[in-house]
Amino acid sequence: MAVPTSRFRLIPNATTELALDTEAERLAAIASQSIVSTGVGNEADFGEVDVSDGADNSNILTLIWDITADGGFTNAEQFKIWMSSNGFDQAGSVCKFQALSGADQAGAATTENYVENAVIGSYTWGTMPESEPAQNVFPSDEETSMVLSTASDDVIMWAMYLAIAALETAGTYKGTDAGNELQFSFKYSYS
Amino acid sequence: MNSNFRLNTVTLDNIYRNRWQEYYLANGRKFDSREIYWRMLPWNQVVKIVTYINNKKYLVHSNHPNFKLFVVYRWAGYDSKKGVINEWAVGWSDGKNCFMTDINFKTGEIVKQYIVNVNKIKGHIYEGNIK
Repeated sequence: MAVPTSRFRLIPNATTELALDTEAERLAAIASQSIVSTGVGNEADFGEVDVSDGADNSNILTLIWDITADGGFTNAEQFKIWMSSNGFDQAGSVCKFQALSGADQAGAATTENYVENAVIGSYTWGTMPESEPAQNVFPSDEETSMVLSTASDDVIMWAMYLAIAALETAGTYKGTDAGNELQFSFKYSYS
Repeated sequence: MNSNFRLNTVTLDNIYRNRWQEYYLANGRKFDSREIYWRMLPWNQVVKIVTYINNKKYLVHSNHPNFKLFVVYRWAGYDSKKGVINEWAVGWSDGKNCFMTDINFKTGEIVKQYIVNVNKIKGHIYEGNIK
């Protein structure tokens, strides 16, 4: 049976809370979204960080992952994301992340509600692991799994930024560039 | 005259070369994932699953004293160090924990063996595969 197909979307941080407060809206095209590639080109760009005066943070990115074709399978779960490659020299340079839900999920437990134009103080961030973790992101309807019926019944949504330590080595961090790698991994099970 | 016609199409493992699973029933019958959709299996009669990937063969049986159900799922995704993730996971559960083996779909090598609490994969457990 065919492996399900999926996509990563980067959405503007200015996206309104009302535009993401139903499953249907999160699954549909979101204004000014862009598809993020798993190869070279269309990368999620954290922007520029200046640590000449000490530690600093990158831009916050809001990303969405969902399944677009189920391949004949009916369930997906065990969603995991980790920063699998990075060329940072300072131990204090890490990626911070938080799984998100829409405002339709009052009292969110495994996620936090999406905030329009989020800043660092908007979410309770965790440090993204650098090796394969147990499930650490959750569907934005606060379930642990997704029902697949042609596509998934909801999305995985999360925010993340890079916290860069003072004295970090200058350069452009991306892909598999030797010494300056920056890549993430995403894994899920399906049946 | 009214008429009805319903055509359900599902892809089977016959789309792959040299990769499939066989399901053996207690009565001696055998099913093949290249010929049958997995949800159509009489799971409560399955006593053995044999997974074939790239000329390697792995067997999971129901002889364990605490055996309750078979657990079968697959992994997908992207790992920057390994590339595209495509693994088949097969194992069994005592109803509390699942004893799993992940097999690399490309090479047929074992990726890892692990124990996962059944609550972590409850979406993959359905009535049909509980004996």
